[in-house]
Amino acid sequence: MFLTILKKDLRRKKVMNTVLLILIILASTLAASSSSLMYSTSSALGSFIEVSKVADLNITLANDPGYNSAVEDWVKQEKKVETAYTERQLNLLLNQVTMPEGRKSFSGNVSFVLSAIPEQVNLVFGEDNERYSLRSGEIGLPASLMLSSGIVPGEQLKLKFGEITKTFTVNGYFKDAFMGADLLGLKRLMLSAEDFKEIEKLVPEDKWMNLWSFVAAPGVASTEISSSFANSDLPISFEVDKALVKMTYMTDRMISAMMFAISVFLIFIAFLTLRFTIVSTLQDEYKEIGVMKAIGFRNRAIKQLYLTKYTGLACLGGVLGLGISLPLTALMSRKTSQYMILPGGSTNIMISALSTVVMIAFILLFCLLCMRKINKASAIDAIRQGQTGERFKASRRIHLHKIRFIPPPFFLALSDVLNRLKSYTSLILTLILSSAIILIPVNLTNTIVTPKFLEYFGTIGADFYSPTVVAEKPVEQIQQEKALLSKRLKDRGFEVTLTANYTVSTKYISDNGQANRRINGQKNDQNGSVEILEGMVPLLKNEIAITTIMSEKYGKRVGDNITFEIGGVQGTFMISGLFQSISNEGYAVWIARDYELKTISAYLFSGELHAPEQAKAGMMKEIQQQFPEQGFKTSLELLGEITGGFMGQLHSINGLLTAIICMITFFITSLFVRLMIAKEVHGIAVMKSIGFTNAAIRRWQALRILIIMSVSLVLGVIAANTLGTRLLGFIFRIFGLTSLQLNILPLQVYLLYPLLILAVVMLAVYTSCGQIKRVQIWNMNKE
Amino acid sequence: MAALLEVTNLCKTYIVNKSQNNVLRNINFSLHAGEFVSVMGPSGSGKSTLLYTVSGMDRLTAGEVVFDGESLSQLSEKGMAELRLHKMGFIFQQMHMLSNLSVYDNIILSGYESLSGKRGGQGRSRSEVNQYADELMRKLNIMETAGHDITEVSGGQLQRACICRALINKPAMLFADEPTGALNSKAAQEVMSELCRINREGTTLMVVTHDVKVAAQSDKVLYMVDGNIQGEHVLGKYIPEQGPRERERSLTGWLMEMGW
Repeated sequence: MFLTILKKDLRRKKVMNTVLLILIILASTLAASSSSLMYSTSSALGSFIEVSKVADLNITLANDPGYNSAVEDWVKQEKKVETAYTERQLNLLLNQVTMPEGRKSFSGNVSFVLSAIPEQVNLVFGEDNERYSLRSGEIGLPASLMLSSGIVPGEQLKLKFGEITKTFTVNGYFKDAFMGADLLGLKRLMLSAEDFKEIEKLVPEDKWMNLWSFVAAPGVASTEISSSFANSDLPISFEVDKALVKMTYMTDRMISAMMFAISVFLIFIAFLTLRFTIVSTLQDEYKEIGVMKAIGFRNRAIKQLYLTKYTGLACLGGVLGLGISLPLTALMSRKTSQYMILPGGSTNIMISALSTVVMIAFILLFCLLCMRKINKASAIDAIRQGQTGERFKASRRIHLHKIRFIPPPFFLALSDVLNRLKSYTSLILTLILSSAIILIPVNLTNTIVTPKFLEYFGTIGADFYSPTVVAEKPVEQIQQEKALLSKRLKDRGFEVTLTANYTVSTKYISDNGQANRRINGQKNDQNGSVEILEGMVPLLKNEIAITTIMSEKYGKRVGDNITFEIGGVQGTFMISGLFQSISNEGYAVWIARDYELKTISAYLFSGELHAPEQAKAGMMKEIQQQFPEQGFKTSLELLGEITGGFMGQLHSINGLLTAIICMITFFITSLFVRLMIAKEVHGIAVMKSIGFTNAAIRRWQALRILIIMSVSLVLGVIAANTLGTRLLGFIFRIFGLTSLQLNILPLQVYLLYPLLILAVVMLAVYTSCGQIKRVQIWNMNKE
Repeated sequence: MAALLEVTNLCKTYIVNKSQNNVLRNINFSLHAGEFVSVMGPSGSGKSTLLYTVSGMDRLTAGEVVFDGESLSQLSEKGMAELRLHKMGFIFQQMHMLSNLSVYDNIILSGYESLSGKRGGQGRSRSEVNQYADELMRKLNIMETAGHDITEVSGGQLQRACICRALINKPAMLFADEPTGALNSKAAQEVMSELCRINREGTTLMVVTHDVKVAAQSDKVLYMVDGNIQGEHVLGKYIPEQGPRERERSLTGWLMEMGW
């Protein structure tokens, strides 16, 4: 008997049961996929860094015997260092590299070093996750360079050393934990040990650099060694500790966190819809429940009947969802696996399976909660569809005869929404979340792709930029270069104001002299500075601006004194202002206009075009065509290079997300409208009987969703712009930005995306309203 | 005088489990404006199907139904809706109303809808619709239920509200499917006297009923058996002052002959 009822239920309510199954599959797939992906990406970074044996502190110094012995002496006396390694590296300029024909040049904003395959620390791995190896005549490239340039294995790359050009065959890409992150502007190219020895003979000794890698003694943090080494006063070209290596992967962590957050949102939406579907199904079955109660079925038996059905559906959906999640996870983690070793195998499958089990348990718990109504309903209540005829609250009803000019379909839509607001909660929440999920990444992308975002990296706004040159140079020499470049531009008829932007290594020294830290200092030769959040731009020699993160960390406010060593000269400065920076975990200083630097460690030129705004793009193209050797970049191009593939990933996520949300919105709205029509067959039949046309009834359905949609969109936009700001602010704070102002583009946020969602919803309504035609007037007798 | 409703060789067939069920077989009859006809017969004889088919609520399988000069089978879905809105009224046994609206709004809803159609609601305004609704409700003595939910009024009041709704657009013809079936005898009598009054005012009436008392008030009675009209009994115009006793006796006798 029990099985017969169940069998008939499954056969009779095919559509509803299929919808339930699809929702369960969706929820299980998302849960299994996102948990596995989150586990992979979160644990991958730590394990990848460990497997690669990234040293606790890595510094690069010129190959000078004096420096080498100074480092060796420091290692001997420093107890915090357990072991030290050294390897030779050669700085490689872009003009030394000849790309294979038809391939894009490497980025001008990235520096390159050539080295042999490391054997002890900072190891690299091949595509197969095995230790990377090269044969003589081969060259290895990091994954990011391979992907951005389009080079494929087997192609030839030429390297020029003085007068001699060497040709190497690209072996393939390697996974580099040490320098592989997009945000790190230094990439290493690898040669075999034999080839590297050959190159050593070709290049004069003074051109070589030494990479010193220090492994900390047990219990010592990498930052402690860094702080200790800062006292040695050696002219470091490049310094990165393990913590900073982890930090450089922030964009990847942001992407995976975003994917996880999106999955959570989607699971939430799937649950809301599931709840709505189960509640609707139970409401539809009130009469049957009533009949069962009337003929003596106990609550437990009725629940058992439904629970058996839902357990079957949940288990089937869970297994199918788990099956779908496995290839989906592989697809989603494909890009990450190109430059990182991901933990794979049984652990991932176990996590996915566990998530599916949790999901099934949740679904059943959910069903049990929804089925509480069965206990409350008496046989007669159930037969009366839950209506007792009693009303304890004042009616929220609006009256047709009191509202002028509103056509009846619109009135019916409005009346429905106001009277049965609770029934629409699932749809309203879904639409609010959908709008917010689309708009938050849109706001994020719009905020990041503005030239203003460059300021957070310490580069002030300009129309174009030259590539960054990393080299110890006197300021005088840079000024001569600038004058020459200005003249060349002027000679070709380009009215431009050039600014030299300097980066210099500074050292913070705590008040008691115990703690110190190397911090990048920025300055330019004009009066401009990055945006100061509090206080003023440092102008006088004894003034300096620090970041808000430093202010919090060191307990220093505007007007306080702070000690820095700049260019080997120690001095006390007054903090004139606070700014924010995203580089180096938010640690940076802005040096005063009047502070005279002798030498700097890196520089770039930025240019302002003297032309009307609309003519600038054309002028910029001409400059790029006439000065190809300068490698000038627009602010957006520079930003693209600094953030690496992150912007591209963000755009892809936005696109993917918009498509997913549109599909989900379409599916859910469609489902909702179909369920509503199925529940409203009686009302529709009554309307038909009194002369309403199918078109008028469709209008009623569409207007109802339109009202819900409008309210949800407004709330969604508000949520995206307020809660989204807080959420993104919280994320960016980790990277150093304490006061993130979202760049909200009104046309996109208030018009285009809402219109897109609206169009999807309306399409879903109209395609789902076909059922209205099939409702016959005599259907009103079949309640 | 041309008939308001002309039914010729009407057939209706349902397919159930690959077998044909001929519910209506070659039905022929006509109805003139102002007439009141009752349809009687045993359960399953096809009375309700006949009502739904001749009123265009359900599509016919064969034959022709002409209402006010328009063949129903030639009309589009929209044309049928227009006809129902402006020229036909329906009363059902189950008192179907929209649960979200008050009694009053249920009544005026189709009145307002008719104002937006091509025919423009016979040149009426919303306030005229309201006035007419008030008038109907007063006549049917349900004015006090106007603002109530439909779950808050009695069956008799609801059925009278249904009559008001059916009349709001001043239809040429009213179709009623067992309008007193769910009511007690007092409420049933009140509803019937209203229907008779409406008929006397010129509205054509076609009622499906099991109740001899209801049928006795009509001009003629059609008796159906197995999808056929087995007989027609003409009673003539009902004059309330003369009382229904004689008509009921005559009708009962005829029905017995028909095998009722």
